[in-house]
Amino acid sequence: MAIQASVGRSQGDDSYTVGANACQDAINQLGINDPDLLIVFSSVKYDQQKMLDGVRSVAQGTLLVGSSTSGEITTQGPLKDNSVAVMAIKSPGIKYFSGVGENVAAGPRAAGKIAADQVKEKAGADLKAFVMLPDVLAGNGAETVRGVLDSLGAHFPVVGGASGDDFAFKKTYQYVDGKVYSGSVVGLGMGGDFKIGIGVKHGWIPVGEPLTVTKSEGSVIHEIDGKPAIKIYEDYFGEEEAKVLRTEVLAKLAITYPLGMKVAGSDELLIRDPLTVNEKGSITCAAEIPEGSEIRLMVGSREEAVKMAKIAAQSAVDQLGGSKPKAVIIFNCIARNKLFGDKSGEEIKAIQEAIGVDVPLIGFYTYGEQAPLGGEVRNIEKCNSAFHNETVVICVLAD
Amino acid sequence: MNSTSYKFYSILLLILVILTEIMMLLGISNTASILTSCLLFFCIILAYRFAVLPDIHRVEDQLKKLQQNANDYGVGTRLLIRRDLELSRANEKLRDVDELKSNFISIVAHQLRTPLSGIKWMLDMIINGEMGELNNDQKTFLMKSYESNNRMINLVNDMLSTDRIQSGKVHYGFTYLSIIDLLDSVLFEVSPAAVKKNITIELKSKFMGMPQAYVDPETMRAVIQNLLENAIKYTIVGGKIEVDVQNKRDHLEVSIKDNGIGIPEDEKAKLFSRFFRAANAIKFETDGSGLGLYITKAIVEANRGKIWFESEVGRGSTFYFTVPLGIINKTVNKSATTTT
Repeated sequence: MAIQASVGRSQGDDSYTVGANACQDAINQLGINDPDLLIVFSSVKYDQQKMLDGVRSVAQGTLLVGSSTSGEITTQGPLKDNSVAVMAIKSPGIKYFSGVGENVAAGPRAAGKIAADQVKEKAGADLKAFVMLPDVLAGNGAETVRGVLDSLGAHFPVVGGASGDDFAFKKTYQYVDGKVYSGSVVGLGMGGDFKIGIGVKHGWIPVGEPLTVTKSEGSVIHEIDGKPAIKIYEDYFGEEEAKVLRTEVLAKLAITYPLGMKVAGSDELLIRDPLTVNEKGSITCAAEIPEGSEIRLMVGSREEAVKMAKIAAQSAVDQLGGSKPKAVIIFNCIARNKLFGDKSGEEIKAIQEAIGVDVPLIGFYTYGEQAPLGGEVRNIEKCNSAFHNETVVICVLAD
Repeated sequence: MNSTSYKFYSILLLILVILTEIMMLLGISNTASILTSCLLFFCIILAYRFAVLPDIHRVEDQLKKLQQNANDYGVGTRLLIRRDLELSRANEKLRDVDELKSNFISIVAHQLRTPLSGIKWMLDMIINGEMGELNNDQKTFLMKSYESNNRMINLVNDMLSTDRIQSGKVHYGFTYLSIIDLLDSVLFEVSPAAVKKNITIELKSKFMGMPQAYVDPETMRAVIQNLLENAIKYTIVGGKIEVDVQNKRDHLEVSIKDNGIGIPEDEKAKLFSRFFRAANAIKFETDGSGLGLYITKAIVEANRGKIWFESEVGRGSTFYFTVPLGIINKTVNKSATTTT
């Protein structure tokens, strides 16, 4: 039987009511009271447990996964006010399995592996795709992905987005069924009879000369060209801004000027967001940059970002082998929201032009995206799932 | 001669000396062969001096220029990024100020609406004679107050709509619907105004088998209503309005054509701007906030459509807008009626 999906949304002051209304909106549109899966994306403005209780009050017993965000996206575009968005899916052909790896701070790789192990144990050989919702403020995002792949195999289609907290970079939340987690990674496994298409692009452009990472450990860059890493931003931003760099959250300032590095398997540079800087000038990124990497400073252009989003959407649709898209999940970087400002709707419109304006769509603005490099899923040997930044990941489901 | 040349000549000379030494040691050298070697040496020097050296110099010059360019680009990039950063900051501040302004307008408009509604209600009672008999002059003046008050209410409502659209507070509940049915329903509503001016409104065909559009019914109704009301408002008594819907594969194109006053050439570019009203429109009809078309355009675009117009002063205007069909089209067989 065919996949049916719908997306509800709500906003207001009372967390429980907003959660309940968003879910009711989705259920009403679906016209079916017992969906197989609920995906919940919520602003941190709401009391997370109360919001989730509200959602669950409408569809008790339905498998639920979700995350806090830095902005929700639905079929009608990016939501401007803090909202709760719920996608309800009825799909008798697909089986869903959830897992959660806690304490990312203690070991991101272990947490990723636990989440995937739990899913694998329930799904067995049936598992076809894995959606992850990690907390990257607690630990290295690329390590979490590696943990997931430790469990599922080196070449496995993984998509996902790191939880947000309305651009505060303090604390993010993940949801499974009725429980709210933080500092965890939530996994959703999908098995059965369905098609999946994945599009991955960013469209950011390298500027200035290439530099070499001369000293790094995991996601911390200590030195670039033998100088403290922060020098790259001090050079570009000028002295005045450089002072602010040391006192404010680096991510807020540098998110629209990330670092890009060359990797095999993708025609675009892989982007790494700078998150924090310490007193020695070492930069902590959202995922690692290996020693010896050639990096460039990147800048965003709206035109290029829109163009690439559409290409990514088209490539996701092309992977469906002619089947009509039935549901879309978007993991879109918060930096893209900042780049577009009031015009963030243009990017989503471009995506919808490629997929179909009436295909139910849910998504959120993330602190990091997960997807196979180049969106490759058809040739599984070349499917290398990785941690991305500043990127739009479009996941399309079809019968 | 530069250092590259010295190096080249000395290496060549060294090779020549070594070769001569070897040949003498082996006993195969004589004066002729040494002379030939010397000749060869000078030939190579000449070839190098006149054929290879200029090329080397050229490449060296180009390298220097490229290096200079790269340095310039580096400096330029840094400056541009600093400027970009400054502008982004300034833009963020502007956005904050804009939000403040929107909130202010929203509060003021809300506060105005309640007393204005109160005035409307009281004027209505007085005009209807509920407070006692009125003479004709009193009635005329009160009617004028009533109309002015109504205009203010409309203006406040338009301002609130604009604010709701800009701040993203409008909820679009997209669904499949027959745009023909929606047209019919709005035509029925606006027909009294058309009849009053003896204007004929005509649907160009029965639109059999027109697919359903994927739009938000409520806002799309407002779009059709606004465009039809404008057409009626700016068409002279006894005029004609034609409504057409064309199926363009992935979208429908709706057109509303009037033979009204038209839009002056130099004002066309500003037509969809906020608070804009064309000079001839103000002369023709004093009523209007100048927000209608701005709101209409914003709604059409939020519904994933486009809006544009063709117009000639004195001959009339045609407004076009598109609505998407979506990929799961449903066909509707609905015959449309002609409203007069």
